[in-house]
Amino acid sequence: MKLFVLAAAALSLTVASVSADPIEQRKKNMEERRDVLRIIGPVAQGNADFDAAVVADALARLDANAKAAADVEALWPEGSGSGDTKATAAIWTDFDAFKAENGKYEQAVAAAVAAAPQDLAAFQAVFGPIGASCGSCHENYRSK
Amino acid sequence: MASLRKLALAGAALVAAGGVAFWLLTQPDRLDAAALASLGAGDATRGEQVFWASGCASCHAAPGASGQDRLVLAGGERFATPFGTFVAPNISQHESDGIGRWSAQDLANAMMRGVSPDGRHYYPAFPYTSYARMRVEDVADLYAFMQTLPAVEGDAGPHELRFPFTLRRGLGLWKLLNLDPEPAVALDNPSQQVARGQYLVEGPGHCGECHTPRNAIGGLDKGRWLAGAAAFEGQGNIDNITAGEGGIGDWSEAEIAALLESGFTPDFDSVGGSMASVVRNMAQLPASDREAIAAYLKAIPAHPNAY
Repeated sequence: MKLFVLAAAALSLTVASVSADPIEQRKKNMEERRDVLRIIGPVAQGNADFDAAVVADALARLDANAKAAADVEALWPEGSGSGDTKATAAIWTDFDAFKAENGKYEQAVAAAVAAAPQDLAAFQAVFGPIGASCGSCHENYRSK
Repeated sequence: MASLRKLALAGAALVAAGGVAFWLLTQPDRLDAAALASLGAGDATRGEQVFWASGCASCHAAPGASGQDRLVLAGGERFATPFGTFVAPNISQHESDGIGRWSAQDLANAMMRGVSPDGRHYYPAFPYTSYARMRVEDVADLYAFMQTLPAVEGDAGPHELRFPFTLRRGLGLWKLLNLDPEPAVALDNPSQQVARGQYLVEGPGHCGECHTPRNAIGGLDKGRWLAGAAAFEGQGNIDNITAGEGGIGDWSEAEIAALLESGFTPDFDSVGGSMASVVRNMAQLPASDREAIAAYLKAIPAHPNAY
């Protein structure tokens, strides 16, 4: 029994370290964001109908996803700027500024959830800052 | 002996002739009087549109600046290229550190001919090969707008180039080959909208400076116009924005216009790097201009990826 627990612990450790590649982890987090934006982006652009329940569900997912990336040090550790990544060196020259940028996005999403938009105009008003924070972060911290 | 002297004389004459030819060929060439005559008093409100269409803030404001800070044109951003590092100059209204003493003619000669007020060539990191296609009236409007912007103290410092690129005079030869105000692509009977898009993309927007591949001496390869390129400055590749293989042929005009406004691709990635800054400029333009750019990109010849 003891051996089994040890083996299970060892296995979970291995699994954890395999999935702990920060480049892969942060990419997965970003891909989740894109998947949600595929639902609500066209709504904001007027290419899909506004449905308050669908938007609320999507924003909740976006919020959970943003909070999952709140540990900026873990996802963008020093030295993770090379390899299969478009992360720019600017992240680590002023890490606090990068963290602030990440926080800006998290706050924009949280504000959108709190606003619980009931019509298209209200949704567009809270979606604007979300999209703008994607752009401002990528401008400085992603090479393309 | 006499023949040797003759040979030496002939050689010296040739060198001298070569020197004279070089001197004449590399002379900074300003706009002609007729062009400058159409430089009326500009309109600052229209000039603001020209300012955003021309992307001035992307290089001359602080990297990542937003809001009013994008109008603080102190320069200083560094661009590492194979020729060395170019430093964006201060183009604020400061009298000695910026361009506060320039006339509208000075601005037109700088942007459209790459010639400084004191008659020297600018390096083409300043995209005058694109701006050469601008209307002089637009430059006059831009001048009026720039005069409303703040004066900021501080010289951004010199470029840091490798020899022989330090010799500015040689740029005269480069310009003979690469400075051509004619349209980059010939379009057959373009609609008014497509013509507007062509003006914006090939002129003030200077899209070709990054999206078109360059030859060995840094001139744009117009045979592969906007077909994408290895980044000349920085790392990675710049996307092919023609309809050819690897390009954006499957994007609708509405999707192209949406990217220019919001930064989102049709797949809801958000563009980064210098393109994010371009989007922030383009978002300031009327929707009709973004739609015109999209229509033009659909009208130009398709090429496969050029990188």
